[in-house]
Amino acid sequence: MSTPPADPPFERALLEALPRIRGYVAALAAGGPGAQDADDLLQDVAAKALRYRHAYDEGRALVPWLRRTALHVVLDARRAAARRPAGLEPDAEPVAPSEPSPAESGDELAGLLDRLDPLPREILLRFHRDGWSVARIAASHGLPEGTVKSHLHRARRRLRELPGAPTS
Amino acid sequence: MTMDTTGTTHDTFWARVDALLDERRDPFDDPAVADALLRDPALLEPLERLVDRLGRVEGLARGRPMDGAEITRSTHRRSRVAAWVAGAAAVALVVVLASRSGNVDSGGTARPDAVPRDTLVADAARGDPGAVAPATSDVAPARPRARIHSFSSTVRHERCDPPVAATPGDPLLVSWRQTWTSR
Repeated sequence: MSTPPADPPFERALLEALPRIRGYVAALAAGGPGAQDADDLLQDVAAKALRYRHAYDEGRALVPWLRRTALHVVLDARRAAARRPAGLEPDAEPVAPSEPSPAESGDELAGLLDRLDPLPREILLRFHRDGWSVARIAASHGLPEGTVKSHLHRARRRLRELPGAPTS
Repeated sequence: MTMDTTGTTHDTFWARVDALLDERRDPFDDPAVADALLRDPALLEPLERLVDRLGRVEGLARGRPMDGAEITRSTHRRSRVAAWVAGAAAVALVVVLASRSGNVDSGGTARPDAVPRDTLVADAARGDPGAVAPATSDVAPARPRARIHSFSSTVRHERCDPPVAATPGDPLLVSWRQTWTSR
């Protein structure tokens, strides 16, 4: 299978994004059975991203797509290693990375935040939007720090569980 | 750290993610999270959704979502611009105050409304209210407009006598007195 010519804008975006996922790739490489070299894995991720760049939608964030790609690279390698008799080289055809979830608009985010309970939402905004510490939030609301963390974790759980807006 | 990804597994996974986020660390860079993702890739999608949404919440403080590098660059750029604006404003204020208090522009040339001091001294001899007493300088201030004189009085004559050679009904004196008595 021949690789189509590289698209310079995509290459540039890829070069900018790769350092941002290196920590994640290193963690993947070290995790689980059959640890791999992080730089080898990062190179495999870049090669796979270039090979399947036609599957990438430019309107979407590249980093989540690369994270997903890296996860698939590691899983493919481990599956292949598990199937392969000892002494044979890997020959598995990699699977194209799937699309990440579409980016949400500001209005959609506001709608999601409106669906949180008031106190957890207030605490979430203080911590993540305003950069307040848990101790400062606790002092300003007259709450124990443990209670503030409970509200914060509840708000995050709700935020990740709420479905996004349907794509048009 | 290895997390069991069965049973209460997801609770353990999300507790780890919460602990990392509480420390403002990227959960994707954590080996235990990576290990759990390898064992259960279905966790990747909700984790990406959470991290993406939290990143957008952080972007609300700046009016639009940004990534970390953008935030750093933008903050430094705004600081530099603010420093330049403040410096330029201070220099402009000093230039304006200096030119108004001296009737001589920054280049050392007389302003168009300045007249030779000799002329004003002669005016004083005739009782002209805008005249001044003789002095050593060749150029003296002409009778300024009331608004400018009022400003000048505020700056330069806060604790001194009324302008020399002003008659009791002179509008300049009236202006000066208004400035003085309003304090």
